[in-house]
Amino acid sequence: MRIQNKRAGVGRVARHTMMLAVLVVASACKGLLDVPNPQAFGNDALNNAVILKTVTDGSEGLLHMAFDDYIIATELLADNMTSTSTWIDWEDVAFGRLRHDWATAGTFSDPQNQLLRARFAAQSAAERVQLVLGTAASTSALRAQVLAVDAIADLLLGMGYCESPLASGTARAPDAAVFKQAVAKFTAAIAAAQAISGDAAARTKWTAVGYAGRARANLLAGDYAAAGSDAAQVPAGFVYNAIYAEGAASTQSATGNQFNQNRNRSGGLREMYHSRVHVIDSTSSLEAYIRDWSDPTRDDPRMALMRTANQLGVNNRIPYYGIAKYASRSAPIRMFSSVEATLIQAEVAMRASNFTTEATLLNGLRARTGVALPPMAVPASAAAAQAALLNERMAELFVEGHRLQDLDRFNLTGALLGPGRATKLPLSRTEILANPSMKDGGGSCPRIS
Amino acid sequence: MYLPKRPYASRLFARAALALLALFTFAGSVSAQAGAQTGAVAGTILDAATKRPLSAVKLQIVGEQYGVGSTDERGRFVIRGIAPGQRVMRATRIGMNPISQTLAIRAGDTTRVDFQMSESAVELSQVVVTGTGGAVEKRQVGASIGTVDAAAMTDQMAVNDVGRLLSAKVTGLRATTVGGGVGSGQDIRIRGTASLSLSQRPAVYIDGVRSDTRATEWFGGGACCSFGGGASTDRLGDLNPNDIDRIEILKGAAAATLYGSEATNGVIQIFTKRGRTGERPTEWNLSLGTGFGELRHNLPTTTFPQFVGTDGTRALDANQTLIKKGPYEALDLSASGGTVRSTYFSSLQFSKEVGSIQPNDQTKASLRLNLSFTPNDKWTIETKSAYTRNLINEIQAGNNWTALLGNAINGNPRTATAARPYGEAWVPVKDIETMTTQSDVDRWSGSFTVSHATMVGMTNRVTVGLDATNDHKNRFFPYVGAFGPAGVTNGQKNLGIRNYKSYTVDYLGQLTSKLPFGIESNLSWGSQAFWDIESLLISVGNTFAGPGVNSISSAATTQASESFTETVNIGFLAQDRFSWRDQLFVTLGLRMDGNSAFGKNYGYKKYPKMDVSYDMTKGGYLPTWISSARVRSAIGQAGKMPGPFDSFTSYASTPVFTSGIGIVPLNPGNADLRPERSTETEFGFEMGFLQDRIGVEATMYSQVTSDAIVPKAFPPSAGFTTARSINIGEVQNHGWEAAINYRAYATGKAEWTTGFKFDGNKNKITNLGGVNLGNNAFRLNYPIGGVWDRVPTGYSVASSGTSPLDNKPCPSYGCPTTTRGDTAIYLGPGLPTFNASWSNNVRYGAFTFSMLMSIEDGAIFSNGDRAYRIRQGGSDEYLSALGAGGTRTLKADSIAQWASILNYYDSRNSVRLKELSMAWSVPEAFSTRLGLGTSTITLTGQNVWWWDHCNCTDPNTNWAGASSFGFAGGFLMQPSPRLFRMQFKTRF
Repeated sequence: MRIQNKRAGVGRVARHTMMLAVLVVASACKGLLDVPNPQAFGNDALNNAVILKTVTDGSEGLLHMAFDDYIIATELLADNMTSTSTWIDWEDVAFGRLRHDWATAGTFSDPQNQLLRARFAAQSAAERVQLVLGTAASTSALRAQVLAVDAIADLLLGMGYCESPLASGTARAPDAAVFKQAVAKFTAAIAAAQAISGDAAARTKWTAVGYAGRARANLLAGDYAAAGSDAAQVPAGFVYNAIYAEGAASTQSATGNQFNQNRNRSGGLREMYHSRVHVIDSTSSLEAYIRDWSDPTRDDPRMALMRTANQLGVNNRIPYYGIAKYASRSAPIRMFSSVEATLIQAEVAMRASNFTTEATLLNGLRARTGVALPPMAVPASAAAAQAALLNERMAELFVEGHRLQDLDRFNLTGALLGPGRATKLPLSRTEILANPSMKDGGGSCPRIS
Repeated sequence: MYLPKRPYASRLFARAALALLALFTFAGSVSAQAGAQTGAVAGTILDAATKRPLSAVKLQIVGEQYGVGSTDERGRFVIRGIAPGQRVMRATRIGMNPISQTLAIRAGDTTRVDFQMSESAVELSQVVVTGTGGAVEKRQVGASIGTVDAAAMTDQMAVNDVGRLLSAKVTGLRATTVGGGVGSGQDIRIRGTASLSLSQRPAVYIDGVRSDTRATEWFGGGACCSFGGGASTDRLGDLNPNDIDRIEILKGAAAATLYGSEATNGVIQIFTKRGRTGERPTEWNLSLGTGFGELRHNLPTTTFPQFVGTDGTRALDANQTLIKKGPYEALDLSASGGTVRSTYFSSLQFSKEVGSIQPNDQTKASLRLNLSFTPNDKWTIETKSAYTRNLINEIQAGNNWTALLGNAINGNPRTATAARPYGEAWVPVKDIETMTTQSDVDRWSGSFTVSHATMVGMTNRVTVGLDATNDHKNRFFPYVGAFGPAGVTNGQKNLGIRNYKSYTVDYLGQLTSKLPFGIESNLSWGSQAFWDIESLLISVGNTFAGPGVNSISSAATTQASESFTETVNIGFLAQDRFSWRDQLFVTLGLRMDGNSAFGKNYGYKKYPKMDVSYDMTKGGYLPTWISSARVRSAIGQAGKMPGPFDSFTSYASTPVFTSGIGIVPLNPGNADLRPERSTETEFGFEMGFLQDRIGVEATMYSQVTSDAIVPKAFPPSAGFTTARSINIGEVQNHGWEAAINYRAYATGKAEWTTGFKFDGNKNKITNLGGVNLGNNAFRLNYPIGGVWDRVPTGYSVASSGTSPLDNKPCPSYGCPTTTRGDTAIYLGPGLPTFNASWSNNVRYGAFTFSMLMSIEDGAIFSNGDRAYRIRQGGSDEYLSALGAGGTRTLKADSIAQWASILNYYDSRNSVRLKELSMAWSVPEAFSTRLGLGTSTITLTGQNVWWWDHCNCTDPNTNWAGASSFGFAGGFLMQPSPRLFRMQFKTRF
């Protein structure tokens, strides 16, 4: 092509064309790259009184959703439940085979991750309540709600995990320090609850949660007098549940999904208790119970099971007994109750060697409607008193996330489950790796039986 | 459903499109009319060696916009409307040496010219257009561009999906079927893995329009589950392979720079067929296919019938009961032709394919109309339009409680019952067979292209296109069925709608000019923009009142969720290719991108490139036994944009309690987020020997992806759930590619062509920014997707104590115990480090035989099924170790105890006979008697057999579906079926 003589003209056209193209397109592009996300909020959008309750409810909802996974992990590690799954991490937890470099996801890390996130959400919500409501925050039920959630998260962290960060991004702290912090937080939560104005129901609820939580926190921190005093403040009949629903995947209970013979059958009653099970009907109602510890001729309705004849866990290896109270994914899980407060008072009495009071309190629970078990005898020794207390705690708080802490604080893990087992869950590996104040392999957990 | 109300963005986008169009109009204001007096040229083109007519040869009168044509099946062509005078006609065809003929065109007369073309094992003269800034011969481009002659392949065998057209056809490109169900996807990767977190599927363009390539399962924001399991339908499977003329593959950043922020993984451009100019009768092509697909009978359940379950039911072997021959039927009818100034290609396809494991089938119908019109020697207008309806009854597979084959082969036959004859651990097979899982896709894609030859040496082209997919999925669990493990009691219905639209606006200008010192400049400039919108909506109805209803509104509880993403990318490009004496070619280019997914603190991203190619063929200094040679080198950058909203700090709504709503921290965001940047350097050469009967090519490449996006976990104590995307990683891919093609023998009676392809890739993470991601897929100085786990450290047999299998006292043979290490060790890479293929094509008389074998070596995978089967008391491996009557033995307990604490990791190494076909060209006398033209009957086997030692059913399965980021193991997937096809193809 002979176009050299036209090169200057052609070049001019090309230059103009390119320049115009850039100018036109660049001007058209302005703003075109700003794409909003219609399915999420930005930070500033939440600083609004209209939306504030949704934010505080979010933190409480997160706590509930953490709690069902917490139940699974701690109960598998304790003696009531075992893995009947085909998942190695469940097997490891059920056998107490824990190690430091476990996965950042799954049973090993997720429950604590969720508790930590719920705690952060509560703290963040508390700041937002203060920012949006100003002085009115001090009498707001929303503030009491998030302060309680913050404290409960600490309490559960201490119960299940040998180490946790005390605050966002801080270094490891042992469970004893976490309990101590929980006591302080519950104190603040109680004060906030008592200051609520204009919402009597919320005041009653959050005050009771505060006392019930602080009673447990004081008990686990070793301040038995304070524990007994707080427990006495919990009103009779009080219950605070973690709530679940079938409505969405995020509100379904994993416990109801996994400890249930109609669903995944991945966790069931540990083999050591199978011989104590009385199966009433394994083909229709599937009704079964663990026998009462003090009167083995009686079924203990507090430890109701479900048993299908010859059914094995999903691993096709271990006979399967489901937990009746978790027969659906919307089954609530009790977090605090007056029953637990009574147990705390019984323990305080036991630790004061007041076995008669202990027995009276425990028999009061055994005699109540729906349980109706014969009274136990007054323990004749400290060992018997402890056994009675723990048996009653196991029955009353059956698969509600207390058993691991009970075995640990009474140093029973080795005796019941053998040596070489982890006594608590270790710190989440996600937290270890992402938290700038921590170092991989730097902890001393878990303690081994 | 969220309907994107974006008047502002829409207006701006339209404004950009109109601006480009206006620009084009401005640039093309000078036009001229074709002369009224024209001539024509006609003739026949033969293969020089075999003297057989050559079809599909493309012809172009050099310098004339409308002087194009192609040969029919008898090698004949005619081009009309050529201006009188001396003209040069250029003939090109993939696999043949191009040839130019000088013609004397006389007004009102037809010039006759017959000539021959010789086959070439070297592809230097092939014309490519993808990523090159306009049409150019391969020899002028310094980077690797692969091409696949899809039209020739579909002539030879019945192919129902694009992935099979690519598999083992191009060095460096790996396309494997990851799940055996009909309609499931292919894992397509080019040159390894370049990202730590983003999709690995190459960008795909169809006739210049960005295409929907989703091949992974989609969810709707958490309301539900996956529909078919991990395996998903593959949108590339919507295409009709018979519509495809050729495919061009840009293998890496150096070649794909002009595609900017979506090109790190390479680019695949698919060109559909077009008609031929010339006033000839319409050419009809009819293809009828039939056949079947069938799994290999290698499921590990052959011992099952030896066992009787608790109610006396003898267990079933899935090999005998579930594997069926899934029939296949296909019809494809196309018409093509043209006039002097226009062409048309139209096709209609219908196919139905049934899976070997049922229920699973695909019914697909498509329509295509491609038109071009050249009103004068300046303007060309093209429109391409295709509509597809793709209805897939998906197989339940993958990481999924209701995986059909997963339940059948992972159960324990000793627990078989009448209701669970395979001893299914989760959901009975008979119940899964009553489920419905359907994907119903409507898809339209099309483009409108206007080209203008503004003046001699200057052209402008604008393409506006849209690819729109509407995918309606539904999954139905009947009221009756033991679906408990899947979270379903008394039935469930899931409905999903995926609405995807991708708009493309592309402008390209070219100017060719002479510079001093014999240098020619080919300047290209342009802009490319796309706007992607994807909306996913899922609704769920749980628990029906009774059998007989299947609507969501008739369920006790209902829920819905929606997710939405939107991405806008605007890119500008400029490139100049300088050539010297038609031997030395140097290209300099730059692409600049703005993208809505970049952090708000980040601006435009620039990607430069340079390549050099030196064609030594014309220098006259090659020894006579070297017929052609060129060396090349390229360096260039391309990017990979982040996820659409990854840079945003966000808080999400979530259901709480029983019916409440809460807001929780979700994504910490990153305002500085920018695209990953891959810099690739490659060197290579092509050589032809013995008049190009032997072609050898080799390439070495080194790609470094910097600013790789690392999903750095946010400390849980700091709240946000999503990992923060940070540009702190670096990944290296080093590799090589080589191919040898040899036309060993060619006469009129017989031909034999053989070819070998090899490639190797070493992948390594070289920087994680000091972050320990704490999982096995990302470790510094090891490959992405490297396989890590704890391994056995010892084995002993205790004579007393309790068995870890059941906590009961040790049996008399003792308690075997394998111990494991406490720390995961590296077991190998997740992707093959070496791939090879060997192809043969032999023609003898009217028969043509072809064969393609492939080898994969070096990859390890987590063989999840193997351990699961054993943990549940199943699998031939465990069951055959039991004693008489199914009693436990030391060996059986050893296997079971191992599987309770360790996973299995096996090799993906395999040798696979991918294709085997025999074609018979029906004698012309016979086909003519039937009123038909050239006719062929082909028998084809695909995925015919494979050899492996993976302790699995297929080493290529991947439960996470196609082109997912990871290379998951074959958990609960079904292997690829063997496909046997017969095709009758004729022209008339």
